[in-house]
Amino acid sequence: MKNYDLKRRQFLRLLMSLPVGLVIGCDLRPYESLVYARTLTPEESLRKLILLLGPWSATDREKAEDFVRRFLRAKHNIDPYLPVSSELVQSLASRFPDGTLAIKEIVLQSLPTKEKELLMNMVKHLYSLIDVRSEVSEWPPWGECLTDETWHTRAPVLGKI
Amino acid sequence: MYGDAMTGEIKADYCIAGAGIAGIVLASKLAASGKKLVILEQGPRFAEEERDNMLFDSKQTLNDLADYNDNVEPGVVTPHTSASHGDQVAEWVAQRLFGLGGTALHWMGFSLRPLEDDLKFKTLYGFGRDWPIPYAELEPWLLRAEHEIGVAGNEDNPYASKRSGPFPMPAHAFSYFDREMFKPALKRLGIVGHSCPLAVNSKLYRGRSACMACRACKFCPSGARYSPDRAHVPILEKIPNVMVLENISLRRLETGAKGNRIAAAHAMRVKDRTSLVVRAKHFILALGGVETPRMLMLSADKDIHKDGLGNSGGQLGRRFSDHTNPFVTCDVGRHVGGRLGFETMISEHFRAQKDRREQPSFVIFGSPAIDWIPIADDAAMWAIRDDTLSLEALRGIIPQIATLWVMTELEGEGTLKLDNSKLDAFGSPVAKITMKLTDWDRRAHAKLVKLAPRIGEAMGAENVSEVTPPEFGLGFHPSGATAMAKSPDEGVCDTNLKVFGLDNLHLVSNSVFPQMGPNPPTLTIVALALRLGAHLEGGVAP
Repeated sequence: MKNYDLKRRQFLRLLMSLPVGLVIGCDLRPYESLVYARTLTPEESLRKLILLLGPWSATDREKAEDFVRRFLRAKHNIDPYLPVSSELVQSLASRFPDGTLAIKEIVLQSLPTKEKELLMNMVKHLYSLIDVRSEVSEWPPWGECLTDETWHTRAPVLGKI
Repeated sequence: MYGDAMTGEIKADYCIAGAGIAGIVLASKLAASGKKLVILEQGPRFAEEERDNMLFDSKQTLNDLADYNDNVEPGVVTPHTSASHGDQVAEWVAQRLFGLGGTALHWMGFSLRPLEDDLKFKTLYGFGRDWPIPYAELEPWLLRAEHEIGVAGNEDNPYASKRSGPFPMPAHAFSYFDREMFKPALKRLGIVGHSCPLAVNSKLYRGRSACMACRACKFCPSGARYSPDRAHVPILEKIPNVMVLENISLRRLETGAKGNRIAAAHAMRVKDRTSLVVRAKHFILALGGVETPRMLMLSADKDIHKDGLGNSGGQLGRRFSDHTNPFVTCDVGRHVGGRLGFETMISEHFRAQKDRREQPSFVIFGSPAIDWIPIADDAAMWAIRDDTLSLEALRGIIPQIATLWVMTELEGEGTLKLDNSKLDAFGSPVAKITMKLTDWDRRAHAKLVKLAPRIGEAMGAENVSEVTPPEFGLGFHPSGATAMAKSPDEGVCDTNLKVFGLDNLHLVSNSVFPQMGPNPPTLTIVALALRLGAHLEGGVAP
């Protein structure tokens, strides 16, 4: 088993290093993982969805994992999804390749209505959270005092602050 | 000196119920007299360490709405009060807080003044109520209040009424958004954007830090935002004649045999439900816009106050009012820059309008997207093209989102009564609030529906959301149900905030406002607390 795990990890790393573009705009039929023979649990599926919908690229994996850990530990975050919509979460997650971060776009018409609703609710939820907003707006971490209290007066350079 | 708080009876000169901003500021003024003073607060005391933990936990659990009363035992907090308008119900959930500091534990620090016209509303517009005191009498107390809590502001507001002195410190610098997008857009529409007065230090003030831009204002790690428990309570507790008691719930006031004085305040210890009686020369209710009228109702006796204290004219609970805060989000098409935890620019243009007889006045606030608004609700829809959700586009839109919101006045046709079907943890009925939106009230919403796209367009916005909420919402500034007036036929307390018919009971909260303009009420509450303190100690003018 140990040897198998090592090979799996190596393969996952290789998969993660593939350009995100390879998984964008895809026809979202249920994805049969070549790596995992088993179905992901609802929690694993939710984790997978957060990672692929969120804004973190492969170089931010550690930050992304930290976010997922905090998201999953709080009842108020997971209540809309688990256990009430466990099957939907699993089904939606199964349409995407494993290990993907920051997917670029999703063709909605290929999704069943319920999964589309779940997806949109999750996107709205994630991108309304201060943590995610700060990440995409390139704001300093929320709640930490700054040495520059005129930070808010600065012009964003090339669209970034 | 006080009797024994452990055995159940306390004697004092002043008994103040409520340790929010009104009660604490008033106590600070009365404490200098050397007289015995006891302050009762139903909620707990929040130590600095607890504040740190709340901030830490909110980050650790991604709970952007975390607040002070989240983990307070249910018996401490009066059950949530809701207000209804027809079949629409709005809840006060965490908006009013119980604890040393009250709702000012988490307020944003907006410290706008009333306008002169707000105080003579009925005279000018033919409906609503006038204040029984003129602006000229209130103004020096507003100035003193600005110094008491530390308000940062500039005298750049062309719509403001006359001031008799400068702000104690300069306003916060305008944000990039204010300077480059909001102000020019307002200017194109003939509106002046100006600084927003805030009780958030722009420099070191009375030993408290300047704002350090952490943006978590609710918990304010730097201490720059005024909070009563940080600024005034530590000083009060060093004074030997002052006793501040938390976790004590006032249950009712007892009238004396002749019915013209309060003889005692009956309270209960929250932790063990044992009773405590306070006998004092003066009683002051400083319980906020809902609990102050509720306490006067709960204290009804079987004699001349059978309809509640101060209710000989039938005015108790009448003309309850609030603000509404509808908002929109806009995608302005370019990065809006950074946001402190508060707006640095606002406009009071629509307060000074001349058609107030036709529609309510309001204040407009604009800034990069506010934390508590679910901005992705609309942004995600704007990122859909040809049935494809572009998350890449959404990640580009989020930094471009600005929020515009207004604080609008209401005519004040609500009522507050006791709800005998719903009891608090001590068995007393909670408040039942029924709002009644008038056609006049609705016109402010209609105005924003037209105005928001125009401001958005002037900023170059590609998308502007619908106005939220669609019609009925609350601003969480309950007011008006124990109005100050010249006679009992018009209100509950007189111009010195003494309850009609009771010689030793005073009120201080936004419930005494006869009419509330569209400015947040806090600065006016502090001004009235300072004025009451001077009155009780001999009528010293500011």
